[in-house]
Amino acid sequence: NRPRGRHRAPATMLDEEFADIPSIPQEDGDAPVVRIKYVPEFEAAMSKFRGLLQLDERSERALRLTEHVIDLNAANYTAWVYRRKCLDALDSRDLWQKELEWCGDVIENNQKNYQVWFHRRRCVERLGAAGEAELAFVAECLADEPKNYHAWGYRQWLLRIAGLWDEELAYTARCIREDPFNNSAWNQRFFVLQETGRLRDAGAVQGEMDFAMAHAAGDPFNQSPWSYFLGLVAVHPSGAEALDKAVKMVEPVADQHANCPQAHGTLAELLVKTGDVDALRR
Amino acid sequence: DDLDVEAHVHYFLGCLHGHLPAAFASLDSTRMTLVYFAVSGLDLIGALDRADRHAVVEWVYAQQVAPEGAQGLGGFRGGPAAGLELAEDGATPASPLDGPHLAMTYAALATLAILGDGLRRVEREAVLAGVRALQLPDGSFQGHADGEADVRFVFCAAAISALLGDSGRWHGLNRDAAVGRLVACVTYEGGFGMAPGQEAHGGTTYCALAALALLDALDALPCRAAAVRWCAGRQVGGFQGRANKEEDTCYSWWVGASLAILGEKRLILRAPTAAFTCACQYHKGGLSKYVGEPPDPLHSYFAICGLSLVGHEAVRDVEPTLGISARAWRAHTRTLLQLQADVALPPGARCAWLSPPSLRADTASALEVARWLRLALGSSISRLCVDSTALLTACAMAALAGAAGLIARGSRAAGAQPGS
Repeated sequence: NRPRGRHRAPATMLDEEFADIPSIPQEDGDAPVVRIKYVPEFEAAMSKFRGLLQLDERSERALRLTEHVIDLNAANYTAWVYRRKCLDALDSRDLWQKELEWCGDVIENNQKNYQVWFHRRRCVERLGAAGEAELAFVAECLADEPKNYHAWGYRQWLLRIAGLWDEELAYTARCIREDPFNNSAWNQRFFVLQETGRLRDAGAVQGEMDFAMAHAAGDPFNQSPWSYFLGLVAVHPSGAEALDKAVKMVEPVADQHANCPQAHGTLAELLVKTGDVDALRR
Repeated sequence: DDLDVEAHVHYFLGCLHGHLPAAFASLDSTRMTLVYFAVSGLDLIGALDRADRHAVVEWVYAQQVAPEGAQGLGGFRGGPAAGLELAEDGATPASPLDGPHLAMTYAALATLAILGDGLRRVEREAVLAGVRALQLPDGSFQGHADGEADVRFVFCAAAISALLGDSGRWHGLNRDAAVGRLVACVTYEGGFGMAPGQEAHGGTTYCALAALALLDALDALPCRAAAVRWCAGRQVGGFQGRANKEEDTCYSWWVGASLAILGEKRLILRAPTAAFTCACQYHKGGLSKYVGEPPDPLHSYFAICGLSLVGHEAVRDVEPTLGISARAWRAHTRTLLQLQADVALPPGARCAWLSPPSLRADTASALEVARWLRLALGSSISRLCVDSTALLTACAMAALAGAAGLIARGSRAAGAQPGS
């Protein structure tokens, strides 16, 4: 675990600075259910947090307090919403910049947390920071966790608003080279083709089909290139002609690998589309 | 494929009425989902009566947001974590930051339905207004104010509407926008992603298909066969959530239920599903995501739901679109009819009642359906908009059960033509 709060000393609820904020115990009723055995530090922080909410104070010390709360429970979505209210009220570009950096620390320790990734989008929007540096940040996250669903979603969001499409096909090709079984990378490639309009170009689509078949032939038990291939056939600008060509591309690989369900499943799908019942039966 | 039912009953009761360890602090804002997992889990393995029903119902209602302090927008919160100091009269003050959350509202209503609560204390119109307020122009829903929006919450909105008997009236959502958004999330693989362009994923695919079914819009699916193929392809022993990822017990529910909704439950292979799930049991109770991991409430619950889909003897039937037992849903539809009878409708308004999406063709249910039909037809609602297919099915079953007389009497009482 990285040290918390890169730019600020960690807060504790005993700090003088929070002394006048009331501590409000949790109202869980007379016969609560699904009780959690909170550690004392957690209870103290949450009690101060409730006090802060009661005051509705939008200040820098509120930022320090909520940072501590998030450190104890990054899924506390109320704390994240409250932070954004504070930042909006304080209206300081410098604070938003620090926020973006701190956000990166939280992501490192909570790669699969919904709130922090959403918060990062808000920071980037406020700062107008959708650019190369952000793409590089996501690439770093994906280097650690190549299939992180949140990271890929964030990357897609970023690409759309930044419009930085030029290098993305090459990026996906690198990811696929590193791990041909990374289905997220294949999905990203399809996404780029879609968003940039390349799917309307028969030559480009054919090139992608060749790319997919090369991988499928290399390891036919990898589902990803087959799904990608079928996806391309379904939207191929040349329609039926492309379908026949696709069958001819798949048949040899299927013939070579009699026990491969991915290859034969793909062939069956294509034959269903062509309506060639005899071939399907075979 | 032996399921150690007693151990899991013990596990769920422990979650509900014991103390979860400190590590569960990460679920402090979403405790309502833990209530739902435990209560529905107990229901599915036949031990619902061992829970303290009163304590659960009281705690659930204590999380309902008071609409007066929230601009008329109601719903349920995940827990009292962000609650303010109680007033002298014991009332919970409203705070814009202690607001409702769609997933918690769904979990709360599902829990109440399972426990047979009459929903009398639910601020129905405020809850629906709260749901509607969270829909964005693109049709998606946020889970809470100033939160992320994705397919999970479209499901929650649709399920909340169904549980409150608002299907057809749709006060809680813009149906066309929601359907449009869902369809936009289909990927080239055939499954659904969290947002348009994102990778097909088991959890999102379930949320999208269940939502489409609840919105009566399954025919909006561009290619049903592709969705079936994607789901079926996720079974690699147990089920994976995405192509080329590891098996995880919860996907036996997310993907399995998706197949059920698509009418292809038979494609779920029983033996490998049961083998993988049962291997993930912890001897002291609970199930984990995969072998060798500690158990957690979410995986314990969804693993059991997955076993229900393959007809495991120890597990009751689940209603795939709503994530509650078929028994609970049938009983709840009676509750909804009672509620609707009490709701004052403007003149000429249509009131839709939701037919149980899956009617079992056996005598006991047919009699239940016949009794329920009589209640519907004899109620004070002057015009009913019904799902005609379900109505025909129900009548046929009732006739088979020799209960046709009930229907005829009920229809005449409501001024309807029995023959029509």
